[in-house]
Amino acid sequence: MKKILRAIIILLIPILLYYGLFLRFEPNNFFGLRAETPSGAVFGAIRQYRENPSASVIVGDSRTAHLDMDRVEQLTGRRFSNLAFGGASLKEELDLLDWLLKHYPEINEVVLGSSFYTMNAAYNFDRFSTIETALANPFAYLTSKSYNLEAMQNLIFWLQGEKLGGGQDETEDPANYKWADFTTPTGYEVSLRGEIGNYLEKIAPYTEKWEPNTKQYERLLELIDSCAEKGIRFVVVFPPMHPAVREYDVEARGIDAGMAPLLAGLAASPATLLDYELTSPPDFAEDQYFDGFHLDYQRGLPEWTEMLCEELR
Amino acid sequence: MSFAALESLTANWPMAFSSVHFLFFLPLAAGVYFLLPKGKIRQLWLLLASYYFYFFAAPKHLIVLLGGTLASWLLGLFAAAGKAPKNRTRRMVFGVALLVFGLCFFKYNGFFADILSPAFKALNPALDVEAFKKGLSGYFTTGEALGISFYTFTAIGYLVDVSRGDVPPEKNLLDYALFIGFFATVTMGPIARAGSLLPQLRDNTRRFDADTAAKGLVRMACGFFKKLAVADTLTVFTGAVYGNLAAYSGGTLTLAALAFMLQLYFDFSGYSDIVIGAAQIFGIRLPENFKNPYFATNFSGLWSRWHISLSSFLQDYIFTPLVWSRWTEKLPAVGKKVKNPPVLSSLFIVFMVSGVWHGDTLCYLVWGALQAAFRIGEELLHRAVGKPKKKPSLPVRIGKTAVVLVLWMESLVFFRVGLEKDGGVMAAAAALVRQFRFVSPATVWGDLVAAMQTGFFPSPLIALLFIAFTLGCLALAFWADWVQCFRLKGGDLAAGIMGLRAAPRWAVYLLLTLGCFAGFIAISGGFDGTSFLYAGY
Repeated sequence: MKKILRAIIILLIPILLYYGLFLRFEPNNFFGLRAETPSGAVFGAIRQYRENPSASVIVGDSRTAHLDMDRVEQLTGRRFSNLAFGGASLKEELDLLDWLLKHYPEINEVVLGSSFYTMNAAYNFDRFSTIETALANPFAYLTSKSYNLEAMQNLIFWLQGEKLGGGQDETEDPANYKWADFTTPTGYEVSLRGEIGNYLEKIAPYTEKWEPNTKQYERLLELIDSCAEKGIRFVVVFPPMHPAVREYDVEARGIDAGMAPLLAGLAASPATLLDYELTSPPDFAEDQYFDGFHLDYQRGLPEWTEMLCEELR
Repeated sequence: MSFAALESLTANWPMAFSSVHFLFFLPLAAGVYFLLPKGKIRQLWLLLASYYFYFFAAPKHLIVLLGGTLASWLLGLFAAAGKAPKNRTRRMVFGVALLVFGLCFFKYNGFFADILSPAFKALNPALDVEAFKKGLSGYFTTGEALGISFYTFTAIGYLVDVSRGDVPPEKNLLDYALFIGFFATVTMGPIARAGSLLPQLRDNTRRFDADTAAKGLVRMACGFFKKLAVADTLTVFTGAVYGNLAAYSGGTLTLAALAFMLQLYFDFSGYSDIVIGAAQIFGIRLPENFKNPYFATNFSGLWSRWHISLSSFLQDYIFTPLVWSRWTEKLPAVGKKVKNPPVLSSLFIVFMVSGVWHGDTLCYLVWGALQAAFRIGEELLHRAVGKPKKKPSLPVRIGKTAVVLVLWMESLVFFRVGLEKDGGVMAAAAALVRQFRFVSPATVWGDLVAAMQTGFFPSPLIALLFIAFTLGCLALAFWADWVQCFRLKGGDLAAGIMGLRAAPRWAVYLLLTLGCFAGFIAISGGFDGTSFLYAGY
């Protein structure tokens, strides 16, 4: 028996070493072992919401996850809980929303952050069942394929010298901008800031296969109708994106034409549509964007937060 | 505890042999079993542990298992109470009919709903057929009860053995319930025989044997490797192709058929290794289910080495009685002309039963018919040209094995399409035909990489690493199979590994552990609902 136990312990050593790395690089600081939790880490947000639920909720991806919620409360006069998380797909947003509306009948206002990117059938991650289970069983988190892959991805980024995390760090002094000549994945020869050029390459594997996620889109319309029947205010927000992404990716691939009927359908629905992405982009300067999708935390996000809250008010 | 809380508990701690829950369950169940004093209490503990396992695997189906256990136990006593052999046989037939009815009731309700709905629609044109079908199958059961095909066949075998006088009827309900519900066999077999398993389960005086347990653990590790590192990684490709069959053709479909053939074998034989190893820890020997079938040189050999517990069940309880009954001689009009025992027609019936047992769609019937055609064709060929040499030359053997595997692989297209919710026999046939369309190797490679990226970050590097990992694990598993078949002459692979010198032995242990771990993460620790292919039968 001792021999068996000894062998098992020896064989567990590489797995324990792996989990040492996992805990260092996993995307959510799930166990709270690291000093900093990245903004938009879904588990922390759900835990907080369970402890202190509110009637107004925000669901979306990293572009809405980084909103300064104190500022939002100040500007709108009501408390919003931000449950948006980085990399969320439309399916995951709707799954989370279904779960929230089922468990928290006091919700009377929903803000859903969307994008041409999340409306993409090729971007259809499905992690919510894992999220729900992981909240009850941490082994589901430790063994989740998605979070293990994300941890390994973060490890690769870290080895390449990139900063991990997000939110508060998504700002850069324009004096440090590095410009370079890029050939975009759609074939344009342009001079772009490094963060923007790299971003075009980063999103290309999904955008080159772009097609509307009809199933989830119809689900969204059904949810909007059902919320309208229950008297729940529903707002669909498309946050701003860098003009280069629009020009060299969205328009170059004809995604804007594919999005037009989807936006028209949303505009005709009982939801309020706030489209800062394609139809009504704000006139932001280069230094107000951090990268292709995210606003600079200091120079861009506060201004957009005011614009958004003005509408929400 | 409320029902909703219980439901959420079972959802958050899903149980399968490839789940985190099982990794806690097994040592606890075995540890307590051997710590308990020798006596009935051990059987009681093992039964409770088995029901705990089953409850967390399929909470809503436990009631069906309990009902089936009680009913078959009573039917066994009823059959044994018959005084004359004929009387016992009549009682046994009644019992078997009841069990088969129960199996159909709980397994094929969707099929019956499909058949009945047009008739009801004719009677009531205003009927909403879809709502009716949903209501009908929902009313009868909560879905296909987990393991029902396996434990019903175990119970049928018991009833027949009791009526024949091969085993005495089990008077103790506790022992009988453990025989039917033993966690290692209840979900997917092996279909155990009462004469072999019941005495082992009754024996509550066993001591913990570290050597046997170690062999069991190594065997389980081999099984986990086959399942997690090989079968589940192949699923990424086969799932993507068969989930969107119409989008592929040519070499991609052939590659997917080949991948599924390997996946099915490594999935089910991996499962068999896991449960046989787990039972071994308790000192219980379960029947072997696989003996390197992909090295068989004919279909007779393939079927005597593939899913052995089912094949031998079909042979002992259907084929042999059919042949001995000379049922064809009793047919009206043609019966008098029949002189030979009905071997070929009985073979056909057996394979059709096997097809229906696997599923209620036409795909499985076609698959069963194809197996019958291959087996009968082989028999007719032997009759026409004589039986082949027992030890043919190596090239002949390789050629024969290749022919068997190609036919088997193509027939499994129907089997795999049958697993899809809307998979029809026409879709499978079309996929077979489209295999012959030419598609450039670059397209096949592109399809493979794209399929491997499904569910992963769309990095070609990760997809390539994943393909390399899959091929490496597949090669290792196949090599192990080859060693077991030819070097160990079908012997125990676990004992073979444990007999290696320290360095290679630890290298194998490490490879198994890391391969299993990587595969375990690939299925999200069993939390993503991934199960064994045969869990659906």
